[in-house]
Amino acid sequence: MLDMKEDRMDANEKRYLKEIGGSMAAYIAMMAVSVWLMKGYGGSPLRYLFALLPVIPSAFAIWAAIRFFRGLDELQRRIQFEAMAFSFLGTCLISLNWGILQRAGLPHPDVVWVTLLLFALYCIGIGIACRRYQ
Amino acid sequence: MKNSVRDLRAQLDWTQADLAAKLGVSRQTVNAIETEKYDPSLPLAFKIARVFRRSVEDIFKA
Repeated sequence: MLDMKEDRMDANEKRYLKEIGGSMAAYIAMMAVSVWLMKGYGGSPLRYLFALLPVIPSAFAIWAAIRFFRGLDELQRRIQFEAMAFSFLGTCLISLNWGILQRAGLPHPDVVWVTLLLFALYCIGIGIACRRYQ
Repeated sequence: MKNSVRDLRAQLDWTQADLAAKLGVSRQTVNAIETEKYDPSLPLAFKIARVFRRSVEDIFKA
């Protein structure tokens, strides 16, 4: 009984790692296919469709993450919530202030950096929340 | 909120992992409850009470 429940907790993590790993691998493959297709159809309106090909594995990654969150217990969900709140609000604050400072001459970075900032702050948030409940 | 989860667990000679498995939560959650850094939800508090065969009021004190 004990082992079964321990296994169930581990199974959630294992399943998530398998699914997110598969999604990431598919994302990289789709990205390569997308770049290759866009080179061949540079002037065609189809290029927009090809550019969006990596969205399909991204949707699977979101689905995997939602399944993972549903498998967590209440404290782990709270930790995730606090990390996401920290990440979301931190990104809002930084991007808003950066936008204002751009008028004063700061560089205009690519939008992709916002995603990276979200993820970096999420990782910091997880660290802070885990420490809080240790 | 004060609780006697650690004492009750020790009386039964269970590890945190044993209790976590009985409650269907992670060992980290049991540890956070025992160190009073996290107050469990009402359903989990009832589950804890059921596992120890006590009432919620016996285990958790404001």
